[in-house]
Amino acid sequence: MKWVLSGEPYEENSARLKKDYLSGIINLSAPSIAVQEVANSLWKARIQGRILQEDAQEALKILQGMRIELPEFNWIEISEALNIACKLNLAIYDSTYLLLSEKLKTQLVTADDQLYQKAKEHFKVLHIKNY
Amino acid sequence: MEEPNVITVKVPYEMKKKMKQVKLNWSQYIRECIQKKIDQQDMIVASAKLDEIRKRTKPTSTEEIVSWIREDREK
Repeated sequence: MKWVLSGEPYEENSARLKKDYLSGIINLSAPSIAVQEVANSLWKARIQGRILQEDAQEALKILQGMRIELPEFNWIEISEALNIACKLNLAIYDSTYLLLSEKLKTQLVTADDQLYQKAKEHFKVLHIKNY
Repeated sequence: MEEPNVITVKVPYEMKKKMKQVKLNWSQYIRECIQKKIDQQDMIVASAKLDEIRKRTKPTSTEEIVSWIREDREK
């Protein structure tokens, strides 16, 4: 979202993440639900007059071109997310991000303090402010 | 289907000798390298377009964005 909407904090960190991705230094993946979550946030931004509708629609099309991997989970895999959700008292949506990072044996980068605090002892999580 | 086009790449003699020692479909390998570079360039162009959109948006804090996502996740 920070790639589309302006505003502090963590703007520089987010830009650094994008730069590293474009340079091929890192790879980026997100659960497929990220598409709906980004679209929903852009819709909220539109309602609040933070972004023009045509810009929000264009941004979604452009994000397709950013080639971020968006794996989907099957029923069995999502049961693992349920396990994480119960263990850490998180929403399933949060858990899918953690599950994906675990499956890819990589680090989850998040700007969400609540998710970071709950998951940091159990998963490889990096707060965007530290990127 | 579109006819493939031929490109020629000149390499030093020693390199060609060493290439022969590697069991690899070099044409396929080079095609993949070219495609990767094209994809990367496409992403750089996409990123620049996103930056243009971003400049036109009104500031939204990270906390606000997180709260929008969170309120829907926890509904």
